[in-house]
Amino acid sequence: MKQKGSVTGLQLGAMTFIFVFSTTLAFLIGPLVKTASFDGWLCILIGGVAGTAAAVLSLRFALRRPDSNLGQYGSQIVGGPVHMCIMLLTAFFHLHLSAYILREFTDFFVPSFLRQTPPLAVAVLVMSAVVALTQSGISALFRFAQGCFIFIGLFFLLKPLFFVSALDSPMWHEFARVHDWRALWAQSFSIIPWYGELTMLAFIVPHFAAKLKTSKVIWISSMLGTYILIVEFFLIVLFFGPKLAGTLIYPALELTGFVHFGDFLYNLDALIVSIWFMGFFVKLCAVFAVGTLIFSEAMSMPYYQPITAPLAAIVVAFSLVMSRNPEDLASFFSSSWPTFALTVECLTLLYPLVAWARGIKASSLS
Amino acid sequence: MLILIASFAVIGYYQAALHRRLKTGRREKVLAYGVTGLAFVYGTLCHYSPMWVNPNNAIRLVFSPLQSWLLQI
Repeated sequence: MKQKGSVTGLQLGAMTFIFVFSTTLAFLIGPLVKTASFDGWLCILIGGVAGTAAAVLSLRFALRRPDSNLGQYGSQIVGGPVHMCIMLLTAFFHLHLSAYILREFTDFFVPSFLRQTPPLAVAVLVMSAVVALTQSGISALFRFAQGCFIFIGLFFLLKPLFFVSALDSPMWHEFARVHDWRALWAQSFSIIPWYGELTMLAFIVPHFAAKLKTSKVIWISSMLGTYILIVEFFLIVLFFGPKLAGTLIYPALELTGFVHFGDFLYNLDALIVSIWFMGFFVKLCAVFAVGTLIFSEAMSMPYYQPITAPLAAIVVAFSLVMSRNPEDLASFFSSSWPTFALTVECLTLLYPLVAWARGIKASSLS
Repeated sequence: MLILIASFAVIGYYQAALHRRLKTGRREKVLAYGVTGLAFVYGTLCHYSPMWVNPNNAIRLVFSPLQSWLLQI
């Protein structure tokens, strides 16, 4: 399981950048515009800063022992049974999150591009590719993210240029004040766990290269992802208006339908969805790989490869049974998932807290 | 159900190949096949009674009241 750390700063930054905005962009902006309207950009900013801070706190503790996995020495800090519970719950959270991402993908892709294809077939095919990449190891996943980052980052940095005419709007004045403090709090609360998912990095610290300024890299790339999200939010609200944008299920993807290259190249949806799919795939692989790794560490298994395929089967089963329709799924994810996710993400903070309370130094652990 | 059995047969075969390649011990083999068995049982339950095994019901039961309370603050 142990590998010599080979993940570079650029790879870590690329992964964080893609992680922050790939699924958020497609699935969160619609409900955000509907509930928070013009205050949505503030929710993204507050959620981004708070979520990244929580992730960096747990990561900084894990970085005190850069050669060991938190999953392996954590039992010496909080005790064996508590550690086992935390690990199993965290593994379940990651596998459940993988299932959610997979379900969102099938719900979007099957009616739009793969009509009459059974969702089971799509889910199995996607997870087969995820298993293949996960088998290659965490470092391979980061290298893959670095490759995708160039396409995805460049596209989303250039995208606002296609909507310059929509930016000249009197709606800008509305972004400058807070309309509803309660909606601001509720939506910021919902966004924090999306960024808090970065706590997963605390479980793969030995894969990072030596002398890597991890916290700095994560802050920069997370805020770059936040910038893309906020720009996308502004474009959606300015282009469609807050009422129409609030009724669209995938406003970010609808917006891409209006990207044209001059008068000769129309309907770039397929190309743009392919670019977005790369980001989505990277996130799905990362979440699934970390879930598998944590589960194998909880079971004290030296290799995680033999359990990737059965866990992928569980993820497919989760994704198929977790809701009857997209509305049911959206209702669940707005009513209870943020609290569940925040609770599990904060469990990682127990290690530094208990270590501080018991006066344990990370370097003194065997 | 046939698709489920065929899929898990493939997974079992693939696992056996991985165990040979990684030269894993008896304990790891038991654990890995145990996880596969559990996944098969879960898959079967999902086929016959999907609402019973939906993890979202349990999460909603515990965290939905907590979230409502938190957002009222």
